[in-house]
Amino acid sequence: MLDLTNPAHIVGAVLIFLGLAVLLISAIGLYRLPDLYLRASAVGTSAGLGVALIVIGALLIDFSGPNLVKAIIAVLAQLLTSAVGSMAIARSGYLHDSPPAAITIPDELRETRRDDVEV
Amino acid sequence: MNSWLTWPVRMIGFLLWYAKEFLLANLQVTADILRPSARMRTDPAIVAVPAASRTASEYTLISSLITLTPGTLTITYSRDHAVLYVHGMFAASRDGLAEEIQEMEDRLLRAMRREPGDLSRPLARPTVRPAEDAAAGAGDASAGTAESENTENDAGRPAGGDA
Repeated sequence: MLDLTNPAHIVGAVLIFLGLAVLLISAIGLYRLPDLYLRASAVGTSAGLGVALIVIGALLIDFSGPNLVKAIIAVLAQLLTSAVGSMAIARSGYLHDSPPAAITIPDELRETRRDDVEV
Repeated sequence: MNSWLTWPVRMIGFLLWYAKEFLLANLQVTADILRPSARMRTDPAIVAVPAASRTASEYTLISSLITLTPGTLTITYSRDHAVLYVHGMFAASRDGLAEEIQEMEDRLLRAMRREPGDLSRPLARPTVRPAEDAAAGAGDASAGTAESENTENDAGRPAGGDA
């Protein structure tokens, strides 16, 4: 249980709230940014830092050896899958002609395209 | 032998540097989302960055690390042309973004390889053109001065569009 006389618990609670703030802000980013690629960048903050902060906060509140191992595995798996997932989304978006916002200058990938080939 | 002994130290050094970059990039993206629209500094670009990576595992690692850093996103890469295609959220200048990516790649390769080998590569955009153009005008250096060197490197290989 959360015990506010225990400094580790206070730090843990602060980390969890920081993580929540990061999640909330990246949700605002999803709404405000103009295209798929910028939105994927915004979600990157919640998938990486946001989830890691919440897991570390929970670990501090309920610390034990097995929980430490679980937390390390959870953070590593989260970082790996979020990176691979972002790349898969961005690449399939590009191949399916989801154009980058007009402010994307230069777009040096566009210039390598064969336009008579269905992409 | 010596390079095996220093490997853990070099990897830890790289991870610490990466953790710092990761936190700074998170702050930068988070701060920009909260700015009013008129003052948002978002200035995206998709840049073809010449890469020093060689093996598939090196490309996998550097692409994942680039994507994991908020604000930069690897869309695809070409091992044939040694190019990473990176979407950057704050690319005020094309070369600035390409330099950042190359610095991260330099540090990663120095940490993970036994011998870093030759890490030199150009900063400018490599000449990569759609397959039929390349067949029609191989070696045609119409694209600019800094790129003639790349045209030569690519001439002997089957060129293909990377998109």
